Amino acid sequence: MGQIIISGILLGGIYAIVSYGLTLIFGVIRVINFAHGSLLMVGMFMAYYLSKGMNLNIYLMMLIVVPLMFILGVLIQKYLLSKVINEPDMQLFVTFGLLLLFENVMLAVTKGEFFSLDMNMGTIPIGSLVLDWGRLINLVAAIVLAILLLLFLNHTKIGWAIRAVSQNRYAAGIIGLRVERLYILAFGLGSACIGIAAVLLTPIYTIFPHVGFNFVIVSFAVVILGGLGSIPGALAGGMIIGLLESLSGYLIAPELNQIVWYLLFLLVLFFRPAGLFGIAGSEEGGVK
Amino acid sequence: MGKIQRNVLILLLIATIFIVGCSNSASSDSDSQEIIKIGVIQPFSGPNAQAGEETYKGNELAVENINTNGGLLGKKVKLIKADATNAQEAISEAERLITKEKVDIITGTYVSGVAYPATQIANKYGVLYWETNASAPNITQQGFNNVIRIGQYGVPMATVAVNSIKDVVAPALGKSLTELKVVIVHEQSIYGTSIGEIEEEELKKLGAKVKRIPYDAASADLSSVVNLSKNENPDIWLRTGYVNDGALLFKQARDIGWKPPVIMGQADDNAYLLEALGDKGMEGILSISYPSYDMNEKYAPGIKDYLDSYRNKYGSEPKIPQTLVSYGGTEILFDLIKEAKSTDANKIREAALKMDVKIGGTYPTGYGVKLDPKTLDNTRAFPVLTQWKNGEIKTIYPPEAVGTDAKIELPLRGW
Repeated sequence: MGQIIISGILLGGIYAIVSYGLTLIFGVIRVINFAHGSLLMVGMFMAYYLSKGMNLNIYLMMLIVVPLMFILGVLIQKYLLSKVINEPDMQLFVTFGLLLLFENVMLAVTKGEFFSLDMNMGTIPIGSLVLDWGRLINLVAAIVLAILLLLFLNHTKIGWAIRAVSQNRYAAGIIGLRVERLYILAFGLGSACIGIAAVLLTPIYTIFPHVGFNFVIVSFAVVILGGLGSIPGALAGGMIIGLLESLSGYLIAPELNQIVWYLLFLLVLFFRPAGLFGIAGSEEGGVK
Repeated sequence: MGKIQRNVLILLLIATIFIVGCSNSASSDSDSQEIIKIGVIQPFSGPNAQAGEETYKGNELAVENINTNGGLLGKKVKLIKADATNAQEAISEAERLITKEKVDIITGTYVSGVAYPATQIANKYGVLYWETNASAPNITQQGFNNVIRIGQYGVPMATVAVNSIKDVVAPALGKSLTELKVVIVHEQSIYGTSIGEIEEEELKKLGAKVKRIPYDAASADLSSVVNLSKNENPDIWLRTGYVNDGALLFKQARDIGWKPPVIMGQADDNAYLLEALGDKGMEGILSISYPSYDMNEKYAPGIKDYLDSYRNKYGSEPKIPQTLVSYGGTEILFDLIKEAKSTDANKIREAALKMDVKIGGTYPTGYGVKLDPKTLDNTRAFPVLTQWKNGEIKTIYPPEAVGTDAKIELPLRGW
């Protein structure tokens, strides 16, 4: 049973780290990013190919993948989403189009084959329980990244500006903030967060063009459960869903491991649409 | 441009299209007398394009072989490619093959989801659908009398898993069947479930203790499957699933340091798992596999010739075993056309139902032929058991098929 709880917490770290980018982009720009999963997939392929090509440790690829993903995010916001900034429906279509584009380009490039890093990093035994390094590193990174994002949003001028824009972009514009630039920055940051997640997940999972799909529904659930735009909410939401999935897989049946958190997700949508950690009414709110 | 001129131009365009269209269909009518046309439906584009192309090469080599040896019924055989990656394309391509290309027979298919709708169109026109590769159960459960599956599917795959446990795995462990504990894990769609259920039933009949655990192949975490399996402390961990869930399952077992004495999977002899787990991780894992290229020539006559002609024509080693399966399946079709002296679906079915070929010794796949009269599935399309040794696949069962000096080595010793 202890092993199951450990598995759940480690899985929670994975779900949290894939959700930061989504919650940031949604919280600030108010666009539901359908391309979230495919950006994760693109990041994983980048990390895989770079690490193989340069024969360097996968975690070092953070130094290249994260800036590249930041630039990709900036380009998407600057040249695509900003053109339809006042048309929420069109924004959905744009991100959906990007999903199709990324997945199909990667299908064409990889011919639908599967790729994995053979990295046996070993395990850490604690009594009768075992932790694996890949997921433990990811969990630590998820907590550290949450703290850094919070510090950035709450204690820097740019962070304040981003929060101001997310709370009311018209008012932010009136007091002289450059809304479009901040949007571009926010999408870049969200995309960079996805890049961090991608590098951390590459040693754990098999990579193929639809791999993002395995994470996209759960990351939407994490973000809504934790409160839209809330970084601590995403961390907590990830943990809750990870634990629920692990426990229900073990205690009920592996084939039903998602039923319980789907139910919780529905209940939250009904009774607390702001999320478990959101302030009531903050579904209209911003990033925290 | 004036209005009249424009209308004339449009009329001319329409006329051109019409004339080209007619001449096209006329030409395809005229040559159907001297040749036998076989339509091949495969995914030649999209994610499975490479696999579709490789599977097609099996048809191509078999056709070259028959044409250089005088053809079939005094006619040359010609293949016509049709690209289908999903149900809609399968329907329109099957329609095109039959109504426009006027093919005599359709064959395929790497993807079961393409085969299923395509067989329905073939059935509508009464054209034979000769299935060499797709393994989904529903393809032959539609009650169609023109759809014959000559390649392997769930039942023989499960049977060979159970037979090899009985004949080689249990003896290698030094245990009797009644002492054996087997945990079956499988992905929960019809593919994994149909195989897992047969394995459970047959193993229980033999007296083994069995627990079956279905799981979701798209799950981001399979630790509950691994922990539930570990709790049972099984002798054999028997798996049916896909590639990415297989890699995750094995990696998560490695992550908690658990390796049971025997791991056996359906089609776990692929290079993707090797990349994910490495030589050391895959060492000793057993797989129920497509006929493998290291089989004995006596069991699989013609396999050396097949390998030579593949290397000559394409300049490489065969990439996937499905090429051999479509090659062997096409050879059986040609034998039946000779026997029936026709390409008519009814006549070929009658000849096929009479066919009785034992396993091993006839075709380069080692398959025998005996159709299930109800479903028209080939009950003797038996896969082989292989084991990973130093990053390579070695056939180890049935004994007649073994072409090397490889012997089963069990139990597994850690990751």
